[in-house]
Amino acid sequence: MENIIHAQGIYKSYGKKIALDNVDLKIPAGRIVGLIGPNGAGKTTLLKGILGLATVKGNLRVLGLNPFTERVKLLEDVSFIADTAILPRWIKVSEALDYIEGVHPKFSRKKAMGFLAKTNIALNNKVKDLSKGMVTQLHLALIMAIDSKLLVLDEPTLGLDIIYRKQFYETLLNDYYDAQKTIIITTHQVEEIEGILTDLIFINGGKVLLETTMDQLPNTFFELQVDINNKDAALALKPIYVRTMLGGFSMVFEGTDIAQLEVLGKVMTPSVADLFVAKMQPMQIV
Amino acid sequence: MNLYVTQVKRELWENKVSFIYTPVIIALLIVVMAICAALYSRGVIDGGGVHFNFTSSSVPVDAGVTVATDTPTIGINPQADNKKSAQHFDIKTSIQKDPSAFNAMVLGVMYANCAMLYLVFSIVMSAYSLRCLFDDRKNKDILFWRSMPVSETTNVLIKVGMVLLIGPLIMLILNLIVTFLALLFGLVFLGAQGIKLGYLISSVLSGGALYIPIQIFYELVFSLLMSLPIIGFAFLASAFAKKTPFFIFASPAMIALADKILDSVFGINIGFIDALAVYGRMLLNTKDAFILQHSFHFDQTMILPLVSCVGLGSIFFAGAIWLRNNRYEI
Repeated sequence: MENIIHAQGIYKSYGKKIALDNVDLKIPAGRIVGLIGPNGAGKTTLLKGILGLATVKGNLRVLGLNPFTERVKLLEDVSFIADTAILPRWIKVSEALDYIEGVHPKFSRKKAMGFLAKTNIALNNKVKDLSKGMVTQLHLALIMAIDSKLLVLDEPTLGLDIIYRKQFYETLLNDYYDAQKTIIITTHQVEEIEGILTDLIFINGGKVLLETTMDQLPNTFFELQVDINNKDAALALKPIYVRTMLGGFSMVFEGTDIAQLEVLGKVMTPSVADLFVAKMQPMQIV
Repeated sequence: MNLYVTQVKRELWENKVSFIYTPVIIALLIVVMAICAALYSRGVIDGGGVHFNFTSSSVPVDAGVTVATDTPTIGINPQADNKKSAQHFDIKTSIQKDPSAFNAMVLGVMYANCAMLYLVFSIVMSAYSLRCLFDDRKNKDILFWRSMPVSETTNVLIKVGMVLLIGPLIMLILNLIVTFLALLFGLVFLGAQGIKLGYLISSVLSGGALYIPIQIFYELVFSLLMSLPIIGFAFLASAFAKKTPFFIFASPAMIALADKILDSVFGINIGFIDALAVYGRMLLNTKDAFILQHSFHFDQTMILPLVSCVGLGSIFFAGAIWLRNNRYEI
């Protein structure tokens, strides 16, 4: 399958702080990738590099193009929402539609009007008069009306209430996504996107800690709930994370034989949130 | 082409108060004032100018607008207090005696509008040049604009075009509209008083009231080209500034002061003041273009200064584009 993003040895530093440390990444077409990491992990820097908004060292190709030197051509096929508050406050909805229609060859006004018809946003509304949730709806309607191959969403639901957050991802999945489109999402609200992801990337300290598909996850990672009697036996199998829970312990294992775990307690697939904590704070033995 | 038109539209949407509403309101006010003055005045002429007197009471109140018949100007009439002693003529008689008086009246209204717009646009363009590459970074709008397939070169050059071409074009259109309205009203007003329309129209055609706005547009564009080093530096300051573009824009004054101190204390001349003096002389040699009195004529001696100013301005614009492409600090 053709890779939409091909990154090899990507490096970026701000003074002495290393933001990206030899990152290798391959993202094929038609995937929904969750790029997860704590604050300062390097997510936004990586996205800036992918979008041509910052220079990075190493070999980075997005849709076969150099994102920094061929940014304008690239943006004909790449869309992004950086956060919820970046639409110009002075612009009217009708002006935003006119503008994107005028500058973007792959924008469909009809599609955008269709998305907007499902909201309470009027064409003569100014962005500054809309609520934060409505601004997000508007932005998403504008971006989804672009027939791009890659959509990058950097904390797109930051500051929104749960209703708007759910609507946002439902619209994205139902009205936008298809097998030809790739979506990269960064968010701290991991549990909300878990159900829509096809791929998962954990990043911390500028390094990729985990790059896997959601299909592979149940075969690689296991969460074992074990009581005090089997604690030592379970610890001997070298979990990557241990935490106490009511009446016992929860341990996360990577690549361990599931048959060995099943005799010790209840085995399940860890949630992305638990896995994230496990990978970020390994071997926190209590 | 659609891309460039859309980019211009975007600038006009964003700056509609500065570029459209304010100039249009001023032009409307000038036209309304001129019509009111003509309708409610006795249209007396004192000395060398047409003087509009509002006569809502038995004692005339001076509106303070003076339009000279030879070289139209606008301003507070210094002789306002002495109007009782001024020599007064009837407009109708005066125009019948001298056909150029009607042309001068139409031009007077146009020049009143032109002077006001010149003042407004000077302020608007200065503010626009200083903030147009700063505000979007400050507001983080830049993330939206940069999500569109538009290069920074296009973006910056369109903004330059707003200053060099769109601003003067708006001024030209408004000047032409005001001239036309003044002419139309004059024809109706004076025609009703029995002056032949053909006589009035030939006065305007031979007097040049209809083409002078175009000459003013040409002078304005030329003066802006001569001002490109200043405009370009304002753009550079706007693209460079993290907090206040004005401080960067004002930095040459500090350099000039340092140059002066170095020269007077240590005898070291870094040549900055000399360079400013050269630029000042260039502007002085083309001052006719700046006063917009349709007295400017381009000659060969202006080629080198013009090329130098455009060249220096272009370097600043190139610097602004480079900064926009390579300094992303949001």
